[in-house]
Amino acid sequence: MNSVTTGSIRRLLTTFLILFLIISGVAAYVQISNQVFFNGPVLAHGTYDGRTCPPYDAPIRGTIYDRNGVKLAWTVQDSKAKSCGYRRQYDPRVASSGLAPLLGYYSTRYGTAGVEDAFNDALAGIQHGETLADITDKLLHRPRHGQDIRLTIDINLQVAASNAYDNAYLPKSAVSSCQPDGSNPPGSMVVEDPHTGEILAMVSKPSFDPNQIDNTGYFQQLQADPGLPLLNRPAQGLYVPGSTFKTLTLLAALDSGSASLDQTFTRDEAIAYVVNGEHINWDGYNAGEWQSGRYVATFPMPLIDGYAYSDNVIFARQAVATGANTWLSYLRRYGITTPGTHVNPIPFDAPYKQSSGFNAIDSNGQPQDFNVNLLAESGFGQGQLLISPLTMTEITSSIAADGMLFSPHVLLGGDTSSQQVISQTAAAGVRKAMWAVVDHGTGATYPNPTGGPQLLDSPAQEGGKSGTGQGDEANPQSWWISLAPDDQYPNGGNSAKLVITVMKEHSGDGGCQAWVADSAYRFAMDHHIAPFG
Amino acid sequence: MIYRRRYRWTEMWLLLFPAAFLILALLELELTQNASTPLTRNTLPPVDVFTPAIGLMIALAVTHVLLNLFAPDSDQTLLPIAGTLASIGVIMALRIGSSPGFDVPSLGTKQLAWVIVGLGFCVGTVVLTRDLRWVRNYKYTWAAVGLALVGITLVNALRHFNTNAPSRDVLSIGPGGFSFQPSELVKICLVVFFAGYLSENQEMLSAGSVPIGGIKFPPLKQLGPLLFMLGLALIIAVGIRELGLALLIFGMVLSMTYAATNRMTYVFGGLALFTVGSVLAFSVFSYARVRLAIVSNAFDPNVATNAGYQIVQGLIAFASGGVFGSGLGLGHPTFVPASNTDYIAASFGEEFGFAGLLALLGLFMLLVFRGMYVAIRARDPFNQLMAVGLTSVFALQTLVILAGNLKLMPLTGVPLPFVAYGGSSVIANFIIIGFLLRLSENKA
Repeated sequence: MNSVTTGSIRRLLTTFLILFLIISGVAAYVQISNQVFFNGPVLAHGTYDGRTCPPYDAPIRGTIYDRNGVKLAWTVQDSKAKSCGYRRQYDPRVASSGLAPLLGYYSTRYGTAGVEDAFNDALAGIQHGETLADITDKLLHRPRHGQDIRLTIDINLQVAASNAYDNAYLPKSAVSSCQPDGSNPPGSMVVEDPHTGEILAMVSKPSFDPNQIDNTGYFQQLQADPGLPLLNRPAQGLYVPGSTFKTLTLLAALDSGSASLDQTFTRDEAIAYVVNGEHINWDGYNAGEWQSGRYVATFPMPLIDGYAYSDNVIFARQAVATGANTWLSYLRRYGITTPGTHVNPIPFDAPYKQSSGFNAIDSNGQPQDFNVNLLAESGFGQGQLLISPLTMTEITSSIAADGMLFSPHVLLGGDTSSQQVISQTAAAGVRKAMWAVVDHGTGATYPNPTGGPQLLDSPAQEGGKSGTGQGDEANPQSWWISLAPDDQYPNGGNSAKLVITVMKEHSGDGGCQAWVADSAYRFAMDHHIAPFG
Repeated sequence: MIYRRRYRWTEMWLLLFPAAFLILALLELELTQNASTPLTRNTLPPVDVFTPAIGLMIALAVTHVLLNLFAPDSDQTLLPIAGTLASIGVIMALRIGSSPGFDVPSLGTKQLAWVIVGLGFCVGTVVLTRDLRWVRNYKYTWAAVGLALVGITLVNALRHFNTNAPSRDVLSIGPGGFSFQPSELVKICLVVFFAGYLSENQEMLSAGSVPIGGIKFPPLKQLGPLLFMLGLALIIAVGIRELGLALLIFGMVLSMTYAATNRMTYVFGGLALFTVGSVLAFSVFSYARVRLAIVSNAFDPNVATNAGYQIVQGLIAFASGGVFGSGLGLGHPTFVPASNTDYIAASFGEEFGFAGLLALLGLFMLLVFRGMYVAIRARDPFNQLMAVGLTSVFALQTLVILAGNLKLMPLTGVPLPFVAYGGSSVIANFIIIGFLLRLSENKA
């Protein structure tokens, strides 16, 4: 029987194997060089590639929790999502309670903002050691898992603060009661634990819905909105602080020893002051305030009552008495810029803007000094001061914490560094003055809008200072800085556990905002939140 | 016949490869498609995810047991290699079928069913061809059956002659819409015919007796039927627009003739004929010219988004896989039209990368190597040429579709054996494996 020569079969086999190797070579060229023979166009990520989102570009971002482990922002798989098959989901309370401007947003089109931006590396899993989950992800070619982060925010307190903010404020025209008028003014509210620097709530109004950020036209609408919903007002908004800044003048005077709370001013000294040709008057008194009714000013007036009645004249005099250099050095302790000296801001771990003491350049474009007129005006919170609600919160915090200033932060377990900015006695003195405000000053003039006990009888035992920022004459900013419980309360508050700043734009006198703070304090106490736990 | 009743241990151990692949691939598919959290004890996938793996492993195990009974001495590597390739095919069908742009969730289950049916045909072939002589004796019948199969579709084709409509290599049977591609079975029929014919006329063909221009040609009596059958097959293949099938048949006859005669003359003559044939085909068929133009100008902006869309997207799929691939279930293979059939290699290349593609090519090369090894050790010229022909068809088919995918030649709709979705191809290839098993059992 014939036989086929094995040689021909072997050569045939060799031919096939060579052809297979050629195919392998071509596949290697295409797959490794990302080109077609020879010098062809780029293939993957080229003109005709529809793969806009390779898995490694779409990490599964870490979850953002509040301090109690409530999910605020998390990533869900959604094959229909425009952002690479994963969608960022936010708790609806983030939008409704004014937390969104702080928390920010995540979008593959518009990038990141707020906390989502400040902690992007951790959330996107760019900066952390390899965990077992990372190794499994790598093996399975799955998208990176970002790190989860936990914020100092308490979402329940945040919602309570937001509700309080919406439910009580002073109508621009009236002076006798604190009721909502439905105009929903823009503004800020900050709740901080002064002994740790933890921000427990940060409300910014108007807010936005980060869940809708990728919806057609929504982002453009937010950008065009004159109410600036994307701005996190408490940290990024700078305003004329008004009378709340008398607190800084007071603490500078007490800490530097240039005055004591008992130092008195005669009637003439208290109602008018001419400084370098500029007339400064106590307009409220001259218009009849503190002359009759429940609380009447008596002369000679102690400094503490000048603070309680918010007398601009006394604080202009006091700032000048303290001296520009000393007064400005206290601004710098709170990270407020003073031209001519480099001032480190008080760091904050979410986006913020540094507050400023005065302008380096005057209205004629010339470099300007901090002259005595500017000093006198700044002493009661006008001048050229531009202060963020967060900075005001830090000033109050250092008073609440016996002169210690803890770095404010929103990351739980974040920067807990602290420094002594003023003496313990100066801080105690200011607390006494803040109690006087609610005892018989501007904080005592507005009755409880809900008909309950007055501020002095509220379990919150709040001390504070109101302010009216005259940045916009017709629509002044309505400020209230406060701490609670104030140790000056006769029935025994021992040390301030919480600090709240409320600021409503174009809402008139700040006294009403004390009720906003009172409501939030009582919520924190009743629900044993953080420092009351 | 001496039966060495030795258990097929090698085959059994090698079958652990497809089993391991199936389990790991199904696990990854489940993780990539359904879980967004890291794998923990609580997020382990449910057991029913592994049903396809269990089904296919049982089918392979049953085949293994049957081979122990019916062909205990046959090659022990063929079933594991084919089984692994078929497993890849089932996994890819599962993966592509469930992708958002494709949405044919039953694709994987259907392919699994075809593989199980194919394994049945494989065992059937081994059992029925215990005595290969009856196969050989009916060589003209096989040829006729094969040509008749194509002929039926030719009637359809002639009604739409020379249009750019797609291939009509489809035979519908019954009212259920069950259809299969006759060309898959035609290849096997023609291998049987040529093996029979060449083995009978081997001496005359290799020696040659009619000298023309210094080269001795075999007498027309031997050469005639060969050329006639070849011509007829080619005309039919060209008629139904399956240039790929024509190329396969041509390459297969050339390989078998060279193996039978050990004469390069046939190779050169064949290549000359091929050149003439190609020129003729391109001048006669406008669709062939269009296909060539598409390949040469694929990246022209007007072509890349229209006629060249498939070839360009296919190359992008390969390239986006890179060295290690996007990972199973994580690429976008369905961006390429026919991602589950003609472009299955691009789909596989995207998700498994060059590393995976090289492994796949390695499996094909192993199968070709084992097929030729069976040919070398086979009992007689008919058996040898059968093995050569079947292995050549298998190798050529793989090379032609891969070369088309990689833009080395115009794309022809030839399925990648075992891996591409489709019942006819899977069944035909398992019949080839059945024959090779039988041929390796009946050793010299």
